Amino acid sequence: METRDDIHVIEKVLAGDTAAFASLVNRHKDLVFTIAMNICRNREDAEEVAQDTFVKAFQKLGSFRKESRFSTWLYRIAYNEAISMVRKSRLTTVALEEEITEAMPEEDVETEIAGMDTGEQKTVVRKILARLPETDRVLVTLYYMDNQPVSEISAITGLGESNVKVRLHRIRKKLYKELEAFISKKNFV
Amino acid sequence: MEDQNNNHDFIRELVGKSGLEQAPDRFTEKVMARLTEKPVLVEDTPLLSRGTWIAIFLSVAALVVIIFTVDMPFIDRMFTTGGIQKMSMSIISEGFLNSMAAFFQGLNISGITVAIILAAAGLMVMERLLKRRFGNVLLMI
Repeated sequence: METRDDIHVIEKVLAGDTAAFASLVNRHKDLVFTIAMNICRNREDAEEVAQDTFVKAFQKLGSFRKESRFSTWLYRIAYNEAISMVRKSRLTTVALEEEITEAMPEEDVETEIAGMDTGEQKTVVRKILARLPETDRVLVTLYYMDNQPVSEISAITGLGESNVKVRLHRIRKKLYKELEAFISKKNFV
Repeated sequence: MEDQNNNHDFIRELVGKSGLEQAPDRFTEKVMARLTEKPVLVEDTPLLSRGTWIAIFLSVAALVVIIFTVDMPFIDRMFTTGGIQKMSMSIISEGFLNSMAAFFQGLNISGITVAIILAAAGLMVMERLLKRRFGNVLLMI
């Protein structure tokens, strides 16, 4: 449905109705901005990247092949723009520490986390996601927040499908470890 | 496999609670403004108008007529007494003078006069060349 709507709007824009592009911006701006934030890690750069993404998409709309999803095409532009921005500003990534050795069963982690209130859960998740490398954050956003299939994520990021699957598996493990570390710290205090 | 899916569901639910980042206020308006803004065109206006060029041409023509028709010995004296030597026309362009011998015959042209004419012509040519090469840059400055 969303894809069909996008195609309809794209046809209007290509026919000369520039104002119609606003509905595409409205529909996709949050996810484009989130992808940019995942990589740039600051709002100013992310806004610039997000704006550039839409401007570029508008300029190249004629080259968009309608057999693929517009969102995939757009998010790929956003991803590439953000990566370019980070390379230009030479931002360094903070690697997620993997020093937690004491394993807690995943079920226990889930139970502990489920016992927290929503606000606390939100804070914890944001803190943990902030420590992931940029590409992993994008994968989390696309896979867990936007429910994109692995094939689309592969098209957006340029990573192979098997690579995406492996990364998602590792990310999930990391998230559990981080959650576990958080719980241990909380219980200790 | 089912466990893995359950784990994904748990993470999905948890991550979903953190929510997407919200695009800044007036984001769409800013994008649309960028799309509709007209490109700034640098108008290629000539440095000198047509009228100015005509005036320069007439001035140069008048100057040439005056130089070649009016005898001004005081100018020659002024420069020669100041140490500037008269240049022999044959040194500058013998071939040129020969070809226009009929016109120049009997005229007394000082070296400084020729230098002024050549300098003026050179400046005009240079101005045209510079404008052709750096026209837009000069306009932007």
